[in-house]
Amino acid sequence: MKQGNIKGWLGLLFMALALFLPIGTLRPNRILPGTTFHLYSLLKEPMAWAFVVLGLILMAFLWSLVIKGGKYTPALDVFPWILTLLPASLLTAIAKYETIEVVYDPEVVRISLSSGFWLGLMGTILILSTGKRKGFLFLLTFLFLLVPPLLGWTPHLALLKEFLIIKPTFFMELQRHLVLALVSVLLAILPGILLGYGCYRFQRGREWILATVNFFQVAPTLSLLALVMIPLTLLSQAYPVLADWGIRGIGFAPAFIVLFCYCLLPITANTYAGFDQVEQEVTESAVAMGMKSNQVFWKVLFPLAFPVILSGVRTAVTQNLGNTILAGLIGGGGMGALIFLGLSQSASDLVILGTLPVVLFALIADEFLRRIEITAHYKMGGTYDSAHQRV
Amino acid sequence: MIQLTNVYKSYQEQPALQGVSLSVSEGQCAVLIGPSGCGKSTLLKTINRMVDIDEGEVKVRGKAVQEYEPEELRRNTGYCIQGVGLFPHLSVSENIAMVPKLLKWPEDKIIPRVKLLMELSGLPLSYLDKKPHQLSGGEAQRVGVCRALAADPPILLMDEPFGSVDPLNREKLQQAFIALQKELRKTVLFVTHDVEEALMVGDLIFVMNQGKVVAEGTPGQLAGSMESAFAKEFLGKEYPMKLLKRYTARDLPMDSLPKDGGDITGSATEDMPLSLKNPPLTENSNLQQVLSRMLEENRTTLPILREDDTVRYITYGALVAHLKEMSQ
Amino acid sequence: MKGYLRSRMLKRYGVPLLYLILFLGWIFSSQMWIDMLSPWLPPNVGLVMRTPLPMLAWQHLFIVVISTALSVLTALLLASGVRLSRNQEWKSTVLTAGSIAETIPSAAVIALAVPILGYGNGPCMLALYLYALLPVVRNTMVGMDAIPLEIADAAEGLGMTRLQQLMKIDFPLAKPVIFAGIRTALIINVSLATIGATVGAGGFGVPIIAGIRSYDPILVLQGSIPVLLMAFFFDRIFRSSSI
Repeated sequence: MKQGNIKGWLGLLFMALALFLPIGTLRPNRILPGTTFHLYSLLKEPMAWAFVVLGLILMAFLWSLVIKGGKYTPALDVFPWILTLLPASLLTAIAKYETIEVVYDPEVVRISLSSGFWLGLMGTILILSTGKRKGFLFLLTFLFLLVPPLLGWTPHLALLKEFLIIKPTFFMELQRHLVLALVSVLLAILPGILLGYGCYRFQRGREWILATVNFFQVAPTLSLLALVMIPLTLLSQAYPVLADWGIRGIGFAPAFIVLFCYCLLPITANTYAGFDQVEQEVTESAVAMGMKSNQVFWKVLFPLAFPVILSGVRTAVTQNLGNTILAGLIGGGGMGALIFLGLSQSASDLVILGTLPVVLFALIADEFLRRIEITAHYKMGGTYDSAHQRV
Repeated sequence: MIQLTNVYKSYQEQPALQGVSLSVSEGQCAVLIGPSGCGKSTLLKTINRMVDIDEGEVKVRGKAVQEYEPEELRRNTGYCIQGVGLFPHLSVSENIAMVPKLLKWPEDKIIPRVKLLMELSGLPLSYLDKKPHQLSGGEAQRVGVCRALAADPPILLMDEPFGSVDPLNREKLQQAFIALQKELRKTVLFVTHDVEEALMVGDLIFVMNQGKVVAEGTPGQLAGSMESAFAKEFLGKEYPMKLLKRYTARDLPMDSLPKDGGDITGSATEDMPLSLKNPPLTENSNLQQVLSRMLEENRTTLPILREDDTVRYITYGALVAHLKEMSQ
Repeated sequence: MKGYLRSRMLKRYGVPLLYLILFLGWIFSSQMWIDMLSPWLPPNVGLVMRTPLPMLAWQHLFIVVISTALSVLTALLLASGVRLSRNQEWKSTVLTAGSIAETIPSAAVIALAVPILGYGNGPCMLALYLYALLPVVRNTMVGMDAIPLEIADAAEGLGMTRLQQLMKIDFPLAKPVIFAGIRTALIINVSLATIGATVGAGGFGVPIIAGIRSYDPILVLQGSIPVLLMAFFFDRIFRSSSI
C-alpha cells in the first residue's frame, strides 16, 4: 500500500463517510419513500458485527501503517482478501434490518441501499485498487456480493425484490441489450476499417469522411433516433414485409441503425491513426521489396495498426453499451426499458437494477479488450514504454 | 548492367533530374555523391521504379525498367534506406526472409541463406529471434543490408544507409560492407553525401549537383584535374589526402631490402630497424597511416610486417607513384 | 482582406452563422409552416405544443449553458489543483475515476438524480454537470501534460511560482486542448438535455419524446431539427480548424 496512497486514503475517506451517511432506506412498499437509517442502527443485528469486526481490522491495519510507517508486514497481503468480504457482509447486515416498532407487510416491505453503502463499496474498491491482483480482487468482491441474495440471506433487499418481480423480462432485456450493442459494433468494424483506410490512402477524401463520421457523434442521439424512425415508419408501412422481419419505425431497427453509425467514428478515426503511425520507412521498404498493394496492407500496415484499431473498437463497445439504453425509449428493449420503467414508476431500485448490468458489462468489456490490445501491442513490436503511453 | 540515358524528372514545378546519363557495369560499386537536393536519391529510385521518369531511358540488364513488372523488378533489386524500415512486428530472421518468402522459396533454402547473410555481415546468430526495437542503430542497418541481399538480387540500391549511425559504428559498417561486397560482388548504387564514405566503398564515383552529373571517375581519377569547379569544391581541397585512406600498403610494391633509406629531406641513414616505439605497420594499414608514420619518423622508407611475419619495405616514392597511377 | 484569409474566416464564422440563422428561423416560423401545410398532412399529426418552440429553445439553452458553465469552472479548478500539486498519482486517480464514471450511462444518472432532486430541471442539470466534468478535466490535464518539459523548466528557472506558471503558461498553451474538451462537454450535454424530458425537464426533448410516444412525426421534427442545429453550432464555434 506504499504507492497508491492517495487512492488508499480516498477510499478510507469514503468508508468513513459511510459511517455517517444513511446506509439504507426502509420502505413499507414500493412507492412510499420510506425512512433512512444509519450504520449505528444496525448494530442491534448480530450480522452487523461481522463487518464491525472487519472495520476494526481495518482500523488496526491503518494504525499499524501509521506506526510502522508503511513497512511490510504479512498482514498487508492478507488484508485485501478480507476486505473483499466487507461489502457483502454490509449488504447482508443492511438487508436484515428490521424495526420492531412498526409492523410491515413482509411481502411488500423492502430495504433500499443508500449512499452510505455505495460509498462504502467505492471505498473498498479504491483501497483494493492500491494493491496487487486488483482485477481478481474486484471480481471476488463482486462475487461475494452476489452470495447473500442467492443464498436467501437478504429477502427484503429492494434490488432483489425488483429483480424477482421482473426476472424473465430482465434476462430477455439483457440479452436484447447485449445483442443490440454488440452486433452493431461488430457490423461496424469492417466499414469502419475500410473508411479508415480510405482516409489514409486518399488525402482529399479524408476531410469528408471524417466530417461525415463525426456528424453522428455531434448530433444528439435522441434526435437521430427520432429522425431515423420517421423514414423507417414510412418504409415499413409501404412494404409490410419489412415489418414481418421486425424492421419497423419503433423497436430495434432505428436503434440499431443509429448505434451502427455512432460506432463508425471511433473505429474509423482509430484505423486512420493506426495506419498513419506506421513509419514511412517501413512502408517504403515493403513497396521496394516488390510487395503488391494488398500484400503491403496485410503483411505490414494492418498488423502494425491492429492495436490502435482494437482500441477504437473498445471505445465503440463501451459507448454502445451505454447508448443502447436509449433504445428503451423507442420500444427497442434493453436495460433502458427497465430504467425508464423504473423512472415512470418512481422506483429507483428498478433504475439501479437496470444500470448495474450495463456498468458491469462496460467495465468487463473494456478490461478484456484492453488486455488483448496490450498483448497485440507487444506482439507488434511495441515496447514497455510505448505501451504505457496509451491509456 | 545499369544504364541511364538523358533522364529527366520533375516534381510539380521542381526539377529533380535534368538530363542524367551514367552507366554502371556488373560487379561495380558506383557511388552517387552530392549536396542535399541534388537528385541523387531520386536517381536511385528511378532504378527500381519507386519513382517514374518523365523523359529518357533507364535500363537494367539491357531492358528498360518500364518493361518489367514493378514488383518483379523490385524483388530483384535490394533496397536499403537510412531509416532501415525493418518491420517492427517481425523478428530479425523473419525480416531477412521476407523477399525469399514472397518468391516462395522452400524453407530449407531460406534458413541457411539467412544464417549465411548474418554471418557475412557480422551479426551473431543469437539475434535471429530478436525484434527490431531490441537492436542498436548499427545492428538494425546490418539486418537491413541482409534483408536487401536475401534473395540474391543482382543489384543493390543503398540510400545513405549509414547516415543515422554514429561515426565509430559508421566506419565499422563501411568495413563490413566492403568485406561483403568483396565476397558477393554485387552491382551496387550507393548514395551518400559523405566524401570519405564515397571513396572508401566506391569503385566509381558520380558527383551530382542540381540534377546533373558534374563529374565522374574512379576515386583516384577524381584526384586529378577536373573540369567542374563545383566538384572540386565539393570533394574538397584535402581530397587527395582522404583518398589515401582507400588504399592499403598491400597495393604498393614491396622490397626485401631497404632502398634509398633516408628521411624526407633526402639525407641518408644506415640501418632501419623495426621501430619499437610504435606498433609496426601491416599490409592492411591504409596509406594515410603509412604517410603519417613516414612524417612522424622522418623517413621515406618504412618496414611493413606481413602476415607471414616477414618484413618488407615500402617507399614514399612508390606511394606517390601509386597515387599518380590511380588518377589516370 | 486577402483571399485565403477571407475564405477561412467565412468557414470559421460563416457556417455557425448559417446554423444560427436556420435555428432561429425554425424555432420562430416552423409552427407557421406547419399550420400552412396542415391541409396536406395526415390527421392527428402536428399537434400544437403546450410550450412554443422559442420557449423550449430558451429552456434547453438555460439547462445546457448553466450546468456546463458550472461544470467547466469546477473542472478547471480541479485540473488546476492537480497541476499545481505536480503529483502524478492525483492525476492518474482522477483519470481512472473519470474513466470508470464514464461507463455509468448518462440516462441512468438522470434517472437516479430524481430521488435526490425530484422531477423537473434539477436532476437533468445535475446529470449534465457531472457528465461535463469528465471531458474537461481530462482534456485540461492531458493538455497541460503535453507542454514540453523544457518550457516548464524554463519558467521555473525564471522564478515563476507554480500559480504564475499555471496562469501564464499552462492555460494559454493548453487552450486548444481545453477548448476541445469544452466542445465535447457541450455536445454531450446538448444531447443529454433531450433525455431530461423523461424526468420533466424542459427543452427540445419534450416535443421529441412526446412525438415518439404519440407517433407524431411532425412533433418529432419540430424538436429534432433545432437541437441538431444547436449541437452543430456549438461544435463549429469551438473548433479551431475548419473541419
